[in-house]
Amino acid sequence: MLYRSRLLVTILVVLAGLSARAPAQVGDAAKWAEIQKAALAEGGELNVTGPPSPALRAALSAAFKARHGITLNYFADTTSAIVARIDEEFKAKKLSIDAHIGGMSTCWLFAARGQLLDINGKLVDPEILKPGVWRTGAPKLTELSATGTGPNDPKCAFQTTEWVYNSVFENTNVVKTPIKSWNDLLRPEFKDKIVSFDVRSSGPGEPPAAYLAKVMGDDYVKKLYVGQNVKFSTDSRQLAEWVARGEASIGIGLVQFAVEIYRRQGLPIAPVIVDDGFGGASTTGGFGCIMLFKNSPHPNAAQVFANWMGTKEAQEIYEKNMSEKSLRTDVDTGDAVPDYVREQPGVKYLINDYVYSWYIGERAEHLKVLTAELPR
Amino acid sequence: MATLVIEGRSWAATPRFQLFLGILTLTLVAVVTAAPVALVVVGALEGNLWRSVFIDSTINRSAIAYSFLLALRAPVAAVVGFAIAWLLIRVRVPGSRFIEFALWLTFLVPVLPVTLSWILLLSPSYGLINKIAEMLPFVTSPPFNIYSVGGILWVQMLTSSIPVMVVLLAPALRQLDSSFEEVGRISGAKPFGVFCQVTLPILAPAILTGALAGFIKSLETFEVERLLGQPSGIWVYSTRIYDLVSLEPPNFQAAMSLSTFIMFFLLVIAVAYQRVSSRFDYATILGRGTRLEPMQIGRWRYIMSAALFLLIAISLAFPLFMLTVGSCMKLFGFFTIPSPFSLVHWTEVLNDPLFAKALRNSLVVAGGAGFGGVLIYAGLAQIVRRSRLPGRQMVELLAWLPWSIPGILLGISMLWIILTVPALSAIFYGSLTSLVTIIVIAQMPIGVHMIKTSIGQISRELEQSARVSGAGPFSTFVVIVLPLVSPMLVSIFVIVFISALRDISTTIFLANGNSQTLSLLMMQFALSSNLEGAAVIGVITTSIILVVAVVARHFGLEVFGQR
Repeated sequence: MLYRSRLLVTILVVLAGLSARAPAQVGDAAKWAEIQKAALAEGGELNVTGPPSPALRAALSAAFKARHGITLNYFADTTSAIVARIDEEFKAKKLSIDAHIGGMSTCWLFAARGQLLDINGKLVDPEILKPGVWRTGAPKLTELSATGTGPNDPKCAFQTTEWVYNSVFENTNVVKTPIKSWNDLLRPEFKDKIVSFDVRSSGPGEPPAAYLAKVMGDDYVKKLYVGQNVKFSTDSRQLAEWVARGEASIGIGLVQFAVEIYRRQGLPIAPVIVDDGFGGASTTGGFGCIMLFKNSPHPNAAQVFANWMGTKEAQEIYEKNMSEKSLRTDVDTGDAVPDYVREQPGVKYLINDYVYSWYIGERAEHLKVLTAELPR
Repeated sequence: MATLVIEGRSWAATPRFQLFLGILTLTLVAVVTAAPVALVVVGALEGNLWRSVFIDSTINRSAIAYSFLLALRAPVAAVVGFAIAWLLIRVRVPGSRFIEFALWLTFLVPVLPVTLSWILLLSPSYGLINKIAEMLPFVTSPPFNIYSVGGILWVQMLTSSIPVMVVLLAPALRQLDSSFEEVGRISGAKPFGVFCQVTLPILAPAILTGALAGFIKSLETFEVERLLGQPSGIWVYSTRIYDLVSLEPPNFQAAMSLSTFIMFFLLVIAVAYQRVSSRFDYATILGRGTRLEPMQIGRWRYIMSAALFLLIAISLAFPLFMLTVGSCMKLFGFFTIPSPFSLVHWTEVLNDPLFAKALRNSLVVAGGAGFGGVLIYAGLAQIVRRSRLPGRQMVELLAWLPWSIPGILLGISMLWIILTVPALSAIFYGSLTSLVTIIVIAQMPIGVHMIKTSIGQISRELEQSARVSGAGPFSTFVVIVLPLVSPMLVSIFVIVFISALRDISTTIFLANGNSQTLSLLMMQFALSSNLEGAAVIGVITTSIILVVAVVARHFGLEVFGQR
């Protein structure tokens, strides 16, 4: 009798261990149907915040309504304004937002404040959980902390995109000698002729600065930003225009949706791709991370939305309007995503900006060293 | 000046009721003005970031210095604006009505496309004027640099500082009876002496208020400063505030600490203003009516008229052209790309599902803030200027407070107040009412003080005659006072309407998916680097404001018999 009890306990423990190592996202058609029904019973509305792209807003709202019959109230704003609003609403226990589409820095910020739901286990739509749908094998759920990388650990966001943030551009009419290494940016001809998104502000100026500091060292970055007297702006369009017009020879921290406005009209602005053995730039998920809030007014609709954002339909809309490469294997909107942000086969990218330990740790240190050298 | 106290027959005139009304007014004004400011002060004290904000930050120190340097344009603009208003209203140079209207229009055009237009002209690398100048044999380098203090001053003076002074001072000049100056001339004073000893003192309250309002507002403007100043390392107070609240997470406490400096400064000058302005108490609208005789300056009329038309061409025609043309371009400012013109951005904006709702919301908010604001400001101005309610001097001081903190901090404070008070959040949060309310609060300084100045120009004998005839205080106010100050009411209405239509920083935290306005929609286009779409909304917004300004001036002045 004692032997049978021990055997039973052992079997149960083994089974429990096996299930602990099993993936947390399991397609469940019945549960999916139930959640969709509950979402409609919540009033047929959903409040989402996200990047300020009118085209994305319009397309997502129309498609989501058509697909699920739920009105998507998409409030586009700057990330800082969204963070401030949600923080105040949370403190007052009057949260009006159900979900957010954004970057991981925002996700970690919300998570640190205890405002996010664990997204692990929220993806149940069988369509998005089929094998072979994602480049990463399964839907990518980002970690909440450096140690939370296990499949059953609480997760911050559902990351739907991943691309290479090649953010250094040149004016091809002005820059006559090709730039083949990062040290070429220190050439005397580029002094006072380099512009960058302000590295002292949160935004696209930080990733290239951190990448260069990692790959080339902090001294190099000081020589570049300080020694070359880099001019800063927090206006992405202004930066791209300066390079396109030749007012600046080189631009750092430029974003593709601003650059392509000029490239597509044939203006002489082109990416600087340096084969430095580390990929030339870090990879990132951009704004393509979906996060769900605790105590939101429409939790079921929010879950439907998170699942829907993983579908081919939603990913095509997102990729086309944001020029960020989807992680789905069956989504390719062609020219909407420029070549220079696509991961190249065979290239090993050293840095993924959306890894917690890098972002909060070494990256932050490099940026601190650089910003200490700049007026503050 | 002696005040005739009419003893009322009703309970409303009793000292007890007057005390109650005074305290009620003071409390209401204090709540809406002082509460947000108090929150900012508390936030600054809690953050205790004084050292890092003022001492350790070289940028913040230079930002404050640059801010005051750039704010000096306000007194210059007051002088120039006064001179222009004088030429238009008192001298009536040829084309004065068109010029005045054009200056109103200059004030209406959105700042962002105007600034971009000036960059096209004066950029040191590709500016058109620089390119033309460099063709001259003696010009070896670009003579103009828009990315400089001079560039910022140039754009601000042309697009807002001078036009807004004309808009504010013209009504005061309309209310100046010529007989005052005639008496001076008959007494033997030379024209310059009459101007210095008669005209200027009479108009001093309006000029002072306008200059002070311009000075304070110039500390808060940031779009032009961000585009033209930041690339050259020129920071100002407003761009620093913007930078601090744009961080992830936003550093509101540092922004609040920085804003306390301006708050303290404003309180000092508001007290000084109150003391100085009380010395100027001259009525210009008398019981015998107001007569405006144009001044004769001979052939100089034509020269001045030509100069003003040139000013219009530079400050309005070119920016308006660029705004309209830019909205029809594939790429703003690029005329040499293949097929540079296209209506694709118009299609994009007009087909945006949010456009119709944003347009409706904007009209509701702007109209509500305009009408509601004018009535509230006029009421408060009457209380401050004419009543003997206890606490009225404190009300006058409190009315300055909304300008002591930047719009974005006012917005976040209001958000906190609305979310914290259950009754307020149920009524206000996410509704258009909250947007109307915050705009009315934000524009209270200019509304109350300019209308107060205008009321001060009305001789008390007019109101006293009405009271002696049996009219109550409210009837006197509505039937006598409001019509006489209608030119200023119209100006304030249009200014508040424009502010509401264009506001982003103050309303951004209170709007939600259902209460988004055209300005927030324009911001979305601009942030997604779609300047052309933003220019389309700029054209639409300008057109709306233009129609409203024309109707308001025509209808408002017509109804009150000021034409």
